[in-house]
Amino acid sequence: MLGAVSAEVRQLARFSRGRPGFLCGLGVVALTIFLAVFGPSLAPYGPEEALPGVANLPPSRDHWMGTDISGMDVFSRVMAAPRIDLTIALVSTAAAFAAGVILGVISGFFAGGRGIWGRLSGAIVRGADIFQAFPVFIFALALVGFRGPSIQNVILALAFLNIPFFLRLTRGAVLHMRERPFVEAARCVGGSGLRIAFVHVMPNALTPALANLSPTIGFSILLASALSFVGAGVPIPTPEWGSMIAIGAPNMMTGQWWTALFPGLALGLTILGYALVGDGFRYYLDPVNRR
Amino acid sequence: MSAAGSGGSADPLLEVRGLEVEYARNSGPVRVLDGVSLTIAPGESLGVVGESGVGKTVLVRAILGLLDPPWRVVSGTVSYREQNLLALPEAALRQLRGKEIALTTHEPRKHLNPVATVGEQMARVVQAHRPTSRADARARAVELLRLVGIPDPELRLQAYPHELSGGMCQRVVIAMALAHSPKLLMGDEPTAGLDVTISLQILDLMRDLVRDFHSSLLLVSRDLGVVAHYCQRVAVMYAGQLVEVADVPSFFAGAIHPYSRRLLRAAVAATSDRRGTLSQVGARAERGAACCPYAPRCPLRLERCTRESPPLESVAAARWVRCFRHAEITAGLEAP
Amino acid sequence: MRFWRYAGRRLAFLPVQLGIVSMIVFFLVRLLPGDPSYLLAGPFATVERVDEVRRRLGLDQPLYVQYVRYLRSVMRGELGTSWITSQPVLQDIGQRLPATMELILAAMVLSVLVGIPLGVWTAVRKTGIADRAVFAYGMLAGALPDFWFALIMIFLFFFQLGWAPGPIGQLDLTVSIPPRVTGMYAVDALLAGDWPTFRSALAHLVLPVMTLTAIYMPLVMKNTRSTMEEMLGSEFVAYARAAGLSRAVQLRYALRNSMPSVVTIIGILFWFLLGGAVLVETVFAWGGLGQYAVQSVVSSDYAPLQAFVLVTAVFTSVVFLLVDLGYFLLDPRIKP
Repeated sequence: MLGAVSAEVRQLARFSRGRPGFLCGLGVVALTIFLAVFGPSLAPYGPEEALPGVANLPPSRDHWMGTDISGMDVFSRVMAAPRIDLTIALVSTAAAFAAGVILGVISGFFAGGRGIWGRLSGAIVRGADIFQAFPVFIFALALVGFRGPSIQNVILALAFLNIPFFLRLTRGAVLHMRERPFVEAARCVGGSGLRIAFVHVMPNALTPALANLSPTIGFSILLASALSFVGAGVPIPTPEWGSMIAIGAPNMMTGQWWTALFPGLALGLTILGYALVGDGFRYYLDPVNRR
Repeated sequence: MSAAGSGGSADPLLEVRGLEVEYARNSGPVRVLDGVSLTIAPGESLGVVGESGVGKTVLVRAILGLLDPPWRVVSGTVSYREQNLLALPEAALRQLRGKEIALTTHEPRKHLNPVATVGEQMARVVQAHRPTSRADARARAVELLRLVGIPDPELRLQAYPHELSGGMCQRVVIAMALAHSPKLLMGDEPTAGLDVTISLQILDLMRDLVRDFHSSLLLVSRDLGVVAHYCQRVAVMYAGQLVEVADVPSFFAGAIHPYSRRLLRAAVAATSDRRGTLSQVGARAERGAACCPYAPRCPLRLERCTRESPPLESVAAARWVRCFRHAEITAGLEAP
Repeated sequence: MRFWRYAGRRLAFLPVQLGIVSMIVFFLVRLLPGDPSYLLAGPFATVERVDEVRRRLGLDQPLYVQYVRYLRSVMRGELGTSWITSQPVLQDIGQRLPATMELILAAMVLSVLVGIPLGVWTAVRKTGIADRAVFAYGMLAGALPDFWFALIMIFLFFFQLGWAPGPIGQLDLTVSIPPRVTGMYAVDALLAGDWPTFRSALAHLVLPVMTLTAIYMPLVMKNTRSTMEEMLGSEFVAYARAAGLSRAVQLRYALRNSMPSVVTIIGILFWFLLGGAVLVETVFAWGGLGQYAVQSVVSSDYAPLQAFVLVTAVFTSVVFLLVDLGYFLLDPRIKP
């Protein structure tokens, strides 16, 4: 087991060597995880500490990224924000992955069948398709709007919204796998449908969903920030990149660019990093390239 | 390297000399064509036979200058009317394609534009080399469709490729190829994917049209029987090289090269020997050592065959073989 | 003829689709913690208003009755009342919809006009600095948040350079609203010949439209590029080249085959722009539907929020239907 893991790690290392984008992405991911764990403790000032008399200061030696309108140090808040955003993104993505994969396997494996499972499969796909009529952000806004802005509700909304994505990816892979001889073989040995679906087909059909885990995490961070920006996400004093941008928005028009610029840069860089990692993994995990 | 030409006295229409083509792979280049030479005389029909992957399509594409990276012509010349086609720029080649040298392909439906009607595509081909009005091009298209035996040609002009059968698509492709009465028609496995009766119709059609137009025909096929019936000369290809060239009667009276003999025995070549294609050639290129490409599977193999590469030698009038033991084999043939 | 058959089929399915969408929206209200009728009527509602809402919802009735009631009132245009504006939601939406449409349509037109040529260009010329730069831009645009980018634009072009007006909505305060024809201020001013208003409306449109275009145009560009690349490398384009057709014709063939995919991506662009418009409107105080939705969320005004989701979903369903019809028209292979 350990041998297989180390072999995989070595292959991954070889793969990364020629790809600066992938490595940068990995760096960003590592940095965000580090900040999520240690950020608030390492920050020079308390992330919710409103210091009197230092409001709206430009970047200086004391405040590397300046201060915002309430006198909170921007740099400390930028460092502390990944904890919230990453938590939201990880939890919601994990939940969406689990549910999406299971539903995808069911709807893919039993697609076209005539029994109850077949009908269920059709219903699942049709349902996922109908949900596509709602632009993602708008639906997230609605879900959070009706449940009330809180971290749990943001997680719930994001998890719900990402399910169709993982569902479709897994379903596609399962549909491909269905035709393969090993499935026939498993059936001959006398496996029941569900057993074959989950024990034999699913492990092989996980690849597209796995490859898209990273970009989905990035995208969830973006969505959470957008929700917080409009005031429908993380409540205000909690450091979160989106709400920081909202706080800094009026400042942009009066020339205090630092309050909104840095959180936005951090956000953009993070999403870019996760997307690059996702691209790299997608290429790496594609069996065509694994020679 | 002497060119395997016809026995005739006329100047050849097309002369390929020492054509070497490589394919660049991550693990190193693969030699796909290894010094191919042949000539085609005006009005002659030559059949090139070999298994899948042996380089036949590459040969045809190389002649028309259609090879882009990762394919690369390493050396050799293709002479057509005193010009080396390999040295011509794209603009000059475009003047030749479809007009002097035309190509038909296998699986014609895949090679036609799926969202344009047959009429539109044919009109474009007609207009490609001669300024023609839309009405004239259309009329010419109808004429060509009738020539290739398609019933109700006016109706067919409105059809899309996916609405036509495989055989009809191939007729359309042939019609397009003959639009400008080319001097040389190259048919790349024109009957692949078609069933037997349709295949025979298509081949008959090609033979008749080529004869009526006084064109030459280069027919590429996996099927020795087809070549026997429709060509005057045959060239056998193995691992990117020509291993035997002869006129059809002599060849079928007794092929010399061990591989040709095997083909002849098997009659339909495309089954068991599939292993012996690109990977073989790759092995040669990597080892860098010269040897006969057929050596690993040759029942008459000598030690010398694994060390040296046999040249293509003229063994009789208009007959070439690439084998060290050709004399013995011929003697064996002539034995009572 | 076959188009109408296909259109008929899809149109017949549309009500079912919309019905399910409305069902989903209907259930949104069930998410509310507490008594929906109180929450929907708003904190300043009188007892009569609350009772009225409760009657409309029929909260004591079984679920399907409630749904039917909801559907009936939606069809009648009774989407509730906003307790913030004290107006019927339908009226609010009618006032604000054109502003959002103006934004989205302008961004769509620009994105298509820039994205498609850019995508074709990068597909045809595959290497070079320009290609790399465009690729990097695409990656960045996918990562940078649109609401942040809007702020940057405001800082640069309003604060620093003073070229664009401030983000105070669609018009300067000193300019009057043109007589309502479409509700889109720029269009209406143009129609009325009111140049000062027209200039002001255009000036205020620049930054939000630029923001949306900069972020979402790469969607069109990347998709056009990858589809064109696929088509340019396809067999029918290769064969067109072999037949002597010019590069221009080959490009036309490739482009024509890319159209269905491009039309689809335009539909998806609209989907993205709807979401993006909400955020951009908030930054620019645009006074459109998006800002209305955000205000509703922030002030717990649920009737408008529910109506907003319904309206956007209906719009998107219609747009997707149009896209499907367009795809059908462009690809003759699809069966009605």
